[in-house]
Amino acid sequence: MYASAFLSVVRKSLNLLIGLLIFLSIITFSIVGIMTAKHGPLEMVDLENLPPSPQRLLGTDSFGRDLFVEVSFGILNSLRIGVMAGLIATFIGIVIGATAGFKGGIVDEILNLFTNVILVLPALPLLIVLGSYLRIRNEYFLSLLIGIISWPWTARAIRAQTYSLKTRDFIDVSRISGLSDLELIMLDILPNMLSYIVMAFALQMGGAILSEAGLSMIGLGPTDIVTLGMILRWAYLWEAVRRGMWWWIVPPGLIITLTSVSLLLINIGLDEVFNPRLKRG
Amino acid sequence: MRKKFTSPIYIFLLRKVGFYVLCFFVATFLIWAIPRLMPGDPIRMFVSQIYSSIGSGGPVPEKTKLLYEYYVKKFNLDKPYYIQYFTYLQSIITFDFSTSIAFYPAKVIDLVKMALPWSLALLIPAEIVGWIIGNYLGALAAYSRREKINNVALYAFLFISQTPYYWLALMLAYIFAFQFHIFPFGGGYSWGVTPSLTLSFILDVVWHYVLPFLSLVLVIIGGQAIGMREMVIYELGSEYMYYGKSLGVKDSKLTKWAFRNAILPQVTGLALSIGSAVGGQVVTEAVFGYPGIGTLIYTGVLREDYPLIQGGFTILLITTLIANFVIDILYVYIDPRIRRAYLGE
Amino acid sequence: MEELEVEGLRGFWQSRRSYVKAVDGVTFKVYKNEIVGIVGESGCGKSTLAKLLIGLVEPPLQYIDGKVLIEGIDLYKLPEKKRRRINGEVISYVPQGAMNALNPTKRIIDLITDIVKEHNNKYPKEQIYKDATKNFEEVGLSSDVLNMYPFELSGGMKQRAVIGISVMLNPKILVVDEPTSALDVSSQKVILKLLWKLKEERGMSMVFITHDIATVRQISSRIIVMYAGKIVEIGKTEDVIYNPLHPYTKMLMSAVVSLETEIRKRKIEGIPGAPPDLSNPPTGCRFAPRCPYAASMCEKEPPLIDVDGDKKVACWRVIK
Repeated sequence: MYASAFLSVVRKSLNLLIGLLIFLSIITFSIVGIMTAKHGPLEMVDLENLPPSPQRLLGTDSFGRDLFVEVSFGILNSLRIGVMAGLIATFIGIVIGATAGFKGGIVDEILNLFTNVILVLPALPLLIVLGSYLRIRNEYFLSLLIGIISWPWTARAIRAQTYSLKTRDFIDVSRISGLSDLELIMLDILPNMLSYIVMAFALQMGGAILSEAGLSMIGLGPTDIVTLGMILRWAYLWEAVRRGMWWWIVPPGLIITLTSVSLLLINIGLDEVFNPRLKRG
Repeated sequence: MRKKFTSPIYIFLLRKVGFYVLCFFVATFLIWAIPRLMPGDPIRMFVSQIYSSIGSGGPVPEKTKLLYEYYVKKFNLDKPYYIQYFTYLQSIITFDFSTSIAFYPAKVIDLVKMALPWSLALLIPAEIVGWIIGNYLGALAAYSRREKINNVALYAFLFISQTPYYWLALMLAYIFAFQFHIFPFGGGYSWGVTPSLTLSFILDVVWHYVLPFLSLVLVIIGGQAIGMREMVIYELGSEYMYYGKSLGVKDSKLTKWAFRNAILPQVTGLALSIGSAVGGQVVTEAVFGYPGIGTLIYTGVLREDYPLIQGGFTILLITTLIANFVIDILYVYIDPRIRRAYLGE
Repeated sequence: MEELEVEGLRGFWQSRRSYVKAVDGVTFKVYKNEIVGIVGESGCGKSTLAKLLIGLVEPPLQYIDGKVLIEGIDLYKLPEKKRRRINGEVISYVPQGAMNALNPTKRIIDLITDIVKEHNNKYPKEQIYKDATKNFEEVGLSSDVLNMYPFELSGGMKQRAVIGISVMLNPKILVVDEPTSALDVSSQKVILKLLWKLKEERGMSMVFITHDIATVRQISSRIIVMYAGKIVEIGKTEDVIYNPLHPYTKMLMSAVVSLETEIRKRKIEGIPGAPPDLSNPPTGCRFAPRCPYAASMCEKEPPLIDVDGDKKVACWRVIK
């Protein structure tokens, strides 16, 4: 029964299907890599700078570490940061967007101004400055940092939706029956926006993964775990380009790209499913 | 005289300038306040760490003590917060970002002044070229009658728009520098060459410029193409297109109609693109060791040179804000409806 | 003399798995200098018919077969280029939702210039402006409007502007699709008067498509009733309204006539049941499922035949 429901949803949007497939493939890759690993991702297990072979699927880096395992763990950690930062950003976005759309008036104007200001600021440079102040750089602080910078897009989307929902009849009914503003938002408005919230989260997650990679490349990545961005950083620091070690450069960046693409496709696909439009020709 | 200053366009300009000035203050406040609110105030720690991080060779006690006192005084660390902030604001306005640690005794503002032209030389052409080509390709994809081209184009553009600039940089360096030896691995110009206004130097610079430029431009093209394709598709299905057709307007003219209407929101998209590109450029420059603000910031992060990081950021901030402002004004002139509303022509 | 003659016209919308048979064998004539109203429920195919009449068929709409003769010329036998020339010069279209029919970033005069130049490149701009001013006067708009952008015009002004633009090239036939549906009552009156004036002064014919019978009866000489992609009745306006022959028409008119003095009914309401799914229409008479008089003979589709001279009906009961 669930299968047929799932199929009918997916049939409405090819993009959703492709996005999910890519995303799940990446997760599978990571799971396989982690499960079959006989050692940790940062352990030296072999000779350095080995190209891919049947034993070392992605070769080794300049520390003699198995890149297949490294990348698998990197995916896991990058996704974790993506999810955490995405949740934080989505949450802040919902709070600000829903409040602005619902209250309207001066509250809306102030929040809108605030949103627009944060939106205009160049994100990565700001992250770099603030990130440089962090004494401890673990995945939690980084996720928090990314999350509190990237929420404006979600806030805008949620505000627009709240605004349009606010004027519908069922809201008035609830209002008459005496629900407080907060109850109205939680019980009436948010459930109807679930699709938009999920879509926003997908976008935020994709953006967060790219942001983390950027921070890692510049040297402000997490100090205690492997992420795809950190692998790229090591590749850069250890002159992987000059040494022609494409197996160190291609996989992490490609997976970062594909993760972001798949999340974007999921976002587009969800839009096609929830907001179908007449096909023209 | 009075009428002129209350006219819509002046109010618009005033509001815009006010907005961007607000953005500037919010951003500079954030980077000033946040470290001071964090446990183990990084600035204090930074200052007290000067003992161990200046130049090469052991620190000379008197010199470092002097430097320490210099920074305490400069940041007013011994005074209450509001005075500190005021001093900070003053310094920002006068572009006094104090002295760099990594490049001691160079002043940050001088380092930034040298690096800025390089960065702008990369950013501005990349944005303009990327925007033009991207929108053109996006329109082509949208006009294509064949569904397959349309879809393949969408996925191709989507993919390239999501590639991190710096990863593309590494890839391009691998392909064109390592494999094919066409372009250099990095730097703004070749080692041991002294900058001069000769043709050979300029060519050398251009030769070093290509890969960083491509790293930026390709991603920008991808992003713009997706947006434009969507806008054109939307316009093509609009009622006014069908109506025009129903009165005998030919396809060539209709195409122009759709294009003109679709390009408008893309101008706004240019502003957004700049915000993202400025960030990506920082890391891309670092990857290539290209002598722009990005490499400065990279070194700053490496050496915990806070004045340098903040100085670099502030300049990037100003660049972004100015670019956004210029585009806002441009848009008023380009969109005939806005032009009518604000200038009443 | 017929200005417009339609014979067995068929046009389907292609959706993913099936065809929606929006116009399925439609035959009628429009004579010189008359206004014919085409009425029916939403989804009966009227708007599709409009698109088929002007020969501007874009996917997913497909022309299947049938004839559309404009002054004797078969529209669908013409090559594309010639057909485009006819659009605007011989037959013009006023779309539903004229609000969005105007290019938002062009001034009205620029739009008109674009259109006129497509037909006659040598037409000087000053002359275009003069003619546009005259045309717009006829529809009750001042020449100031020509220099405005669509966003500066009200709904009623936009509707009039669209009509004014559509008649710039002096077409013989005007197909108007729901010109009054989005307007308030006084604006409606203005539009109706305007259309009548145009017809009289220019000797045009018009096809007035609407679901609002109360409106169209004021200027139409004949009414065509459509249901589920087919014509069920044709006749003089007052005949059709007061002496409807087809059961569907009877139901339609009873809703209108009884309340016409108090309320202008905008929608046709109060008929039980719903129109059939046009991707899978019923065989036989399409109205049979909702018809109170349905009998076994209705399993075969009734043809549209002449009754009493100028009336046509598609119902076995009437044909007896």
